Amino acid sequence: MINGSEENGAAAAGTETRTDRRDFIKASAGLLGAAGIAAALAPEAGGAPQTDDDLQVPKGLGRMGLVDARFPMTYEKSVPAAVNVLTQYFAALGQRDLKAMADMLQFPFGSYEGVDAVIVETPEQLFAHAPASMNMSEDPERFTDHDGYLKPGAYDVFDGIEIFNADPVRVNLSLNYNRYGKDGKKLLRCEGIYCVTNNDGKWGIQLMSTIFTPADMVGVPYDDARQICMRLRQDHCLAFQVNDGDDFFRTRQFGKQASISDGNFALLQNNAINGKPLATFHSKGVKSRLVVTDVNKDALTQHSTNPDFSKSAREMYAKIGRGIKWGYVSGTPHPSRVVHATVDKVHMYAGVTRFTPAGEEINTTMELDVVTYKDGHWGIVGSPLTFAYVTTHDRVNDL
Amino acid sequence: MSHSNEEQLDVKEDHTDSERRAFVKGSAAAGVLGAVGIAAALGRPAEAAPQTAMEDPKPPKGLGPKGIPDLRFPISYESVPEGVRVLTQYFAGLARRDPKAMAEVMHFPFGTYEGTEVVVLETPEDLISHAPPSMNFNENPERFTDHDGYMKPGAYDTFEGIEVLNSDPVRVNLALTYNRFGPDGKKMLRCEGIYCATNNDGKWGIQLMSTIFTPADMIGVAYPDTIEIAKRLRMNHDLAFQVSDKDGVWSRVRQYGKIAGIGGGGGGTPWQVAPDGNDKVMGLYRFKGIKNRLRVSESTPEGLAKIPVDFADTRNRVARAGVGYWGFPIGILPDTRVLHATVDKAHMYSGVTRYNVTGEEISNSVEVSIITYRQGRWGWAGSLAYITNHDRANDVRS
Repeated sequence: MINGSEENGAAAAGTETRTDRRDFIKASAGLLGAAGIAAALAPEAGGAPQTDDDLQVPKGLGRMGLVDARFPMTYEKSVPAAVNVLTQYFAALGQRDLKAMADMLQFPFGSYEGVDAVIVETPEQLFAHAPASMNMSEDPERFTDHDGYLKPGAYDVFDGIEIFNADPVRVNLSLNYNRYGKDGKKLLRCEGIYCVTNNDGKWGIQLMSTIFTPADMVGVPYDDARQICMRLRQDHCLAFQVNDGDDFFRTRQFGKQASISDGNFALLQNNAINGKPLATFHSKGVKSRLVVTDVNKDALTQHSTNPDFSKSAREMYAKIGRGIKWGYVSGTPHPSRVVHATVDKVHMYAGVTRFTPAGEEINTTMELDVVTYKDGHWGIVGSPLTFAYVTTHDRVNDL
Repeated sequence: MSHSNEEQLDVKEDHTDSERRAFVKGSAAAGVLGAVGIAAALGRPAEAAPQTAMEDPKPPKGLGPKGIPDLRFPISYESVPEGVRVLTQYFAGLARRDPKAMAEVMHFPFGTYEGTEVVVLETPEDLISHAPPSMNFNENPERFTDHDGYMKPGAYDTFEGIEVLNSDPVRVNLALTYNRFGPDGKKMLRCEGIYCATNNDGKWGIQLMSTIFTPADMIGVAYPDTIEIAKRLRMNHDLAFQVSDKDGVWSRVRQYGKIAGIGGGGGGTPWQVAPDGNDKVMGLYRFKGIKNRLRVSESTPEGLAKIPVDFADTRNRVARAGVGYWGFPIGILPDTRVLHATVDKAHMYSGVTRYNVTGEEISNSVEVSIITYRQGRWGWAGSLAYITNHDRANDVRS
């Protein structure tokens, strides 16, 4: 058993909590104010579009195969629904309408404000103590309860959305916008990543992270931050190649952190091996997909107690048969890239490709990660990764 | 409106608003083209692409008297979910090898850059009977034949992401990437494409696209010359206005041969007509009665040389925005980037920012362009929607 790795997904040396607090939203459906977009798209009034939960195993799924991005069920409904939610969220932000923003969120809701995870338990908490990135105070002061980035007359200009990947209930996206002063001169740029999820039939933003950059600093590259975060993701996987769990622990960040549930590969693969490939894609009854952990600083320097760190990965693939054997893993598959970077935080699209000993792909999983710099230490936040962990390709379906 | 002014990207039109959507309209009404899962998911009745409320956009609150509805106004990005919806449906149709489902979310006439060549499909029947290579399902394709394509038996496509680049009330510029794998699960190629989804007469669909197919072994190869040349072409176009170089505006920039672009809902471009008042500029975002936004023309050295260019008129029009005298336009953005590049084509997100004489921004215009290399010459071959991301005439009112 691998302790705290993506291959078994336990939160290393941390305490994990998941709460289910969507009662307010449910009760308030129709009261929180609908955005114009909702009307244009004619979803049910007062909230994000509803979806069903009648998932069917897709035609063509191989025995013990994972549902990957070849199957339209992974993007056909989820991507438009998520873009609708994120667009409405931004429209509400642009109109400085916290209630309409709350309508597009899942609660408890997580946000990385700078390098710190902030959890907002309820819409009321958002209204009373909005995190800095969502705070509407027009006279903000840093490190206070009215921290923020606004000034009177400022307005926001949409600057694009990107959809990275998706499964039937989770979509990883980014949204950029520029903020201008009332004289039309640029104040700052906000680059954010968002995970939109379907919880119990409602689509909403469960977790986000933003980087605010003053206009004069837009375009500064931060090359060291870019290289370090890629190295962290490579080291995370390298731990398996060199059979040394210590590498794995060093890649993590300490402190309070938030991530999206089901972010471990052993869970997904074992579900498929056990004939339950859709187990993590259900929505009915799922109240929250937010996982909150608190990782001790000491955990980063702990030593693996397992002398054969990759044993469970080898054993897992041996169950599949058909000539598939675990060979090695690469932590930066081709689409990997830094999405946004600053002095102390990076948003990274990265993942892992698992290969046979002969170098043929077995499968690929990709996620969006938040990498932070705290107390002189760079680390990946999450348990152990940050946003939705999505299987983009699985050759078990072909073999 | 003259074709001569700065960054007038609409190409000459030889496809007038044709009435060639009868098949789609009729089929959709009859329910022939299949159900739309997304529509159901979003709470809509199962039908073809959902119809937008049949009312042309009105000037949004806060629009300056000489202003352009830029991307601060929700009407300019509320279109984004529609653009993403039709592109997702298009890809699902492609992945299912279902040309009828693809046709359902396209506008006809439809334009596509196949390699460096513009191909126009007049009707959905054309797609089914003579599909261009990027959309052809023949499993034994042969290059340069009527069954050209990129398929092999058992191949499948994986979704690799969509990017929304910018938008206005009736047009959305997007990029879509997918990988194609063989039946053994090994990657064969990658397709990187750009797409313009438009609202024509209340129906959202894809009007123009361009794709680059790259064999798996070549993915990741950099083409720095292509990238720099693409940026230089865009810069040179605007530089011509700074140095009053008539040939520099189009003759040395525009590609030869058939070219395609996306038009608005009326004559001119936003920065040209906005000083004439809100009604004039909002006319560009009409969709009622607009059957087609595809503009196709033939570009020749002789024709390009004859395009009249009036530099004084351009300077005057820019100054009429009321944000200061025309100072200089710069044909590259701080965030210009080449989205995709290959040996003979680039897809580029770029545009122009107009500055007044003291270096303050007046407005910008941003497009996704197609740059091609043909017969030893690089040229700007066309563009998707030409969109005003930001206009300070909404902030500075003089």
